[in-house]
Amino acid sequence: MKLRDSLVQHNSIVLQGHANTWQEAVALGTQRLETAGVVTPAYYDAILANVAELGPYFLLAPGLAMPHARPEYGVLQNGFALVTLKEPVRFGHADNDPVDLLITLAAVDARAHNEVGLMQVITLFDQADSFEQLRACRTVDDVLRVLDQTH
Amino acid sequence: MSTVRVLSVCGCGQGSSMIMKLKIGQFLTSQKVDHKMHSCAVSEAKAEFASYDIVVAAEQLAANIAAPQGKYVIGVRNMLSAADFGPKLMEVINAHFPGALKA
Repeated sequence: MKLRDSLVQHNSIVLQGHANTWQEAVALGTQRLETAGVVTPAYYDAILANVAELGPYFLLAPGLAMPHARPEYGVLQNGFALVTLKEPVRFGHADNDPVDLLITLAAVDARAHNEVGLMQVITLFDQADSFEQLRACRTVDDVLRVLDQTH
Repeated sequence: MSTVRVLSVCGCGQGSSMIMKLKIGQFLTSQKVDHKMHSCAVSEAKAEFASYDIVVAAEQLAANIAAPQGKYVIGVRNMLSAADFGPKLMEVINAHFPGALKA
């Protein structure tokens, strides 16, 4: 599924969200996906359980996390959420803390899965200024403009 | 000419490891390295290791992966930055898999 299409269709953009902990930050994205029928509440629990076991394995780059778990833990359809935080949170990662950008990923299968959407995530952040542009977004339209510039 | 086989690994085998698969694949193509990429969960990595030359994973995960003889483990800090993983990867390829470099 395409990143932009999912964000629009699932109403899954949260801007300048407030989170006291990384768990609350993850929940901002997964709650939107729950409301949209993309995942069940089990998905959030699975992400937390995975981090407890493996550490924060989904911190892609400084400031950027991509929370996700395996499809069998409550993924109903493919989708993404995008969350920016007013104040960053720390995951306990040696290199990529603090985090204020989260792209929550839900994928129904682990194979060919969301390669198109993931490629769009890569393309988006290939431009170093995308980080700052997303941080500056205050409306959904702002986000869509940033996405449209890069694809 | 030979192909260098690279396995990207993450906690659950589909988000971060797929990002690395796509990103590193792009990078190796740009460097004209003949390569094959695959991604999997860390729990599957041990069984897959025999079929690959190089395993890449987030630094803290990589620290816990033991490389069998003749295999190489590379820790990545920034999965989206070729400036991070590129030099480490090319160092291993130049030293141990020069046959994968296309003229």
